[in-house]
Amino acid sequence: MARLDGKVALITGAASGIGRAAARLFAVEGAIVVGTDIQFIDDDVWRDDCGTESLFVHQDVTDEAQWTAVVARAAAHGGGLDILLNCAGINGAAGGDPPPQEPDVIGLDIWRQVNRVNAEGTLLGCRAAIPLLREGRGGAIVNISSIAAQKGWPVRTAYGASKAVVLQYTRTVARHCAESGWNIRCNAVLPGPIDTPMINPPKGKPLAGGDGRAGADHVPMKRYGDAMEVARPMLFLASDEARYITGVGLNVDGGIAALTVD
Amino acid sequence: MASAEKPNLGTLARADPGQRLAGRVAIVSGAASGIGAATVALFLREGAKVLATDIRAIDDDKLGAGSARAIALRHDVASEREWRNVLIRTTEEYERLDILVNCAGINVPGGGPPNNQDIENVTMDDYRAVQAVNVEGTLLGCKQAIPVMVETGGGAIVNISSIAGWVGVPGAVPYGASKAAVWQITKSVALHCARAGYNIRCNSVHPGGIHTPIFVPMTGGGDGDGPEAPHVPMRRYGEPDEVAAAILFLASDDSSYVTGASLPVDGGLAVT
Repeated sequence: MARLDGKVALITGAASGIGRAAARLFAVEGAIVVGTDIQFIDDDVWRDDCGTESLFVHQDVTDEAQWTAVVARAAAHGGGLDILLNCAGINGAAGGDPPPQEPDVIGLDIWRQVNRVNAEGTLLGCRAAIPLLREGRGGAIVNISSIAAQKGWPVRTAYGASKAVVLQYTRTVARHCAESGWNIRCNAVLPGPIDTPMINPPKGKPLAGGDGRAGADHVPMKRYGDAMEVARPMLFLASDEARYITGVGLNVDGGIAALTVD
Repeated sequence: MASAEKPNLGTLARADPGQRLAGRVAIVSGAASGIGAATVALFLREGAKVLATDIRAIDDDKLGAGSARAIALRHDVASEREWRNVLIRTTEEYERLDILVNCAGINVPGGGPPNNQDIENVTMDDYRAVQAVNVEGTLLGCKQAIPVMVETGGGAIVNISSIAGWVGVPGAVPYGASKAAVWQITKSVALHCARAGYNIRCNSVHPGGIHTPIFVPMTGGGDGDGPEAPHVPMRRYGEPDEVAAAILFLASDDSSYVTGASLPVDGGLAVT
């Protein structure tokens, strides 16, 4: 018996990084995985990772109408919905010449772009999924906040604010669902520096030596985490093992949490 | 952009249920009842070898499945000498230590009936007795376990703090202060071990109201009318098993990048 046997999980941002690792791990643990992303992923690659029962759907998480269709399609594919992982996220620093985010120069365009994906995407996902999670056997939502929600980070002003929204929103969703008597939990993970395309784009500078240690001097563990090291805490929070845990923000950050006031 | 390349996702380690702690050696204090007893039972089900310690006698019959892999020891966690003896026994029996769970805790000296420990009525005897077990017991456990873990390749420490370590608990000043100290010690231990390059993680769990011998008397029992715990979003108190599951997560490789973190297990109490 695997830890997610019989569960149907909808995972956004599933084409790369933490979302992709979670999709693979959740499938291995017995869930039927429906992954979505604004990036496309090769069907064979997807099924190789997540099994023939899995499904990949193209989705822009900022599009309200798409959310209604995606949750319906996921529930139809899996025969219900038990788990939502809101992994889709951007930091506004991709591309060759990203706009600055420092508070004295940040433009509203980048602020809104980052907040639309990270904050509004998470809000829309929870809102769309709750009715389906209520219908079924109860459910679990896991959102991705960030250590950036707890720290000042001038070059990621929009990103930090969006992740603080995710953390606060997670607490409110948790309270609302629990006090409504719905068997729906909502928690967040707060990753520190993780070796994903977001901080280490495929064409960017590789983490020197490939062991994730270069540039990690600010991390007490002195290394970057890998995507699976965030996926596993998400598995715990999404599973019935965490049935008395809701409204929690769990740091997954190599020890930066111990240097954090929150 | 169709991407066919295989990203580095990390290691997909999936331990079979019942094997998540196979080969691991764990010390669990406060193992005679409540969260400690539930943790011992879960760790044994997951394949660990367990030294179950408590100042009270532990009934071997209650250890349940896997009890052949358990050793029950009398242990006053407030005594550094007794901690040394527990560690010696551990290495003699099992030659290693992978996990320490500091569950031993009290809110009343000697585990007696609840008394008024608000700021006007608290006695220094009450205060010091609670700190000796909850704070000094945890500190001594970490201090004595770390060198053994370092020698045998690293490990994970899980301390039991409480929601009462964060919010005011006017009727239980010593308990609240002690649990805040446990939380704080956890962070210092985590940083120390990470910076020293030891492969040792240290995290705290923060139970809310849990059906345990330490908590149930504080509630005065329900009147049977309406929800048991109207102030908890989930409208119920938790079970020791539900805290043990969080302890297992933090003790296992599932939390390999988690250290210095605090994990509430409280039915949503902390967000109200």
